[in-house]
Amino acid sequence: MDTLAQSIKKMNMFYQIEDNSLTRTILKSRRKILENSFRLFASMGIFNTTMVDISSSAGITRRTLYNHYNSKEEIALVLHRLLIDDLLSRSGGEGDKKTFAYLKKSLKSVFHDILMENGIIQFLIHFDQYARENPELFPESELFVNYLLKNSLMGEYLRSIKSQGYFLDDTVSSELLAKVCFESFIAYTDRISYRKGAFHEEGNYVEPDFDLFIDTIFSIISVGGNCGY
Amino acid sequence: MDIDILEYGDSRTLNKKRKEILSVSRELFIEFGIEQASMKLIADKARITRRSLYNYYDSKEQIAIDVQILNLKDMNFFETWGCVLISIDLQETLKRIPEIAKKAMGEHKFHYILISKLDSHFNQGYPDSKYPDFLRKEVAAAYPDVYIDYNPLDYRVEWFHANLLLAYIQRLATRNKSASLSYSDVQSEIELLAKLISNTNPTKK
Repeated sequence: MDTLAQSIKKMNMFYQIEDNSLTRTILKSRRKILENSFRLFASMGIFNTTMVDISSSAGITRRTLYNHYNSKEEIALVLHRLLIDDLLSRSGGEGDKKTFAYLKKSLKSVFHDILMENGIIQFLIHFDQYARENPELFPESELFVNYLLKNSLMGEYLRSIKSQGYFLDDTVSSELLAKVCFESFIAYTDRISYRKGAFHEEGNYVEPDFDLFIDTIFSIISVGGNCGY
Repeated sequence: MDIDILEYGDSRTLNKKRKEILSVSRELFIEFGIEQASMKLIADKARITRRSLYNYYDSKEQIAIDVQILNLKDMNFFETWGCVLISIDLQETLKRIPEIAKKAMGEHKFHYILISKLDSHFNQGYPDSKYPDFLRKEVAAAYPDVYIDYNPLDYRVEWFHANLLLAYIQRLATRNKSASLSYSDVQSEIELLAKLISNTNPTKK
């Protein structure tokens, strides 16, 4: 298995810093800053990482670092957005986007990548905890669950499914189901990702069952997987 | 707080001091997390020297394990969650879930927060087998009639819903910490989650 640093080198998100006004040199230093910050945040947490740690691991001076970003919180926010946008953009792949099966496949792909790729779940959990403990530094709309609700198509998909009468219980709102889905996911992965490390020596860890997770969340929907909408 | 279950067999004076160490550590862990609470900070807060603290504990990790054992006992964790951890009666727990959620946002808020802090600190493993052994013993004691091979590591399919439920409740305490939610804010979420789990988790013997 790759080390965290090797995995980060391969991550697509660091190539998605889209801003045409920036020169290639600036983009290159930002990439270096973001890659190193991600590694530090994922391994030590945001609380324990300082701007000094970031500048020295990126091999730049503190002054240069502050030319790019004002604070570690700003860096964490940029990383969080890049990460989730990247996860959402590569989810699902080929297929008819207007099917329930496609929605399940996309969700499974996002969840799988979050849990299986080095460092991602650690970063997300550290970010979520840190942002909650410092609400004055992070807008609520940037928290994991809220960001996904706003930027993924989950809400839209579920609204459409519900409007066609596929919800077994009509009193359940599509927004609430989307929220419970994302809250459950971060809560569950938080719990098991820690346990995964803690009992690693005992050796018989079993990977979580994403199908069961998705079946549970969608058990309120009465379709066999082929409904078009 | 009765610390006899930790089985140190201290004299009365030692016992009193150990109690105080554990009680100030608990507060520090909840406020700052285990990473930020140093042995020096704990000694200062307990008004003893660092050298004297090391007579009781070799590391803050050992303190944290003891704090957690008392924490779980104090909130009757195994009476509430023991059955869920070994999945013998999820339906019964689902019926009680509003009550459990209310407690997680009220009187048990810091108990659950402490569980999260401990989990996150020990994500690379525990210093020795004291804590995993304690978990196994308590689950077995709560359900003496059932054969139990409880392994906290195991995420087999049959324990999925139990872990999901516990994880969601545990998270309520942390969400509540920053956003000051009340039960009515999350009631619909909790009810929906219970419904989803109930749909997919048939009653078990």
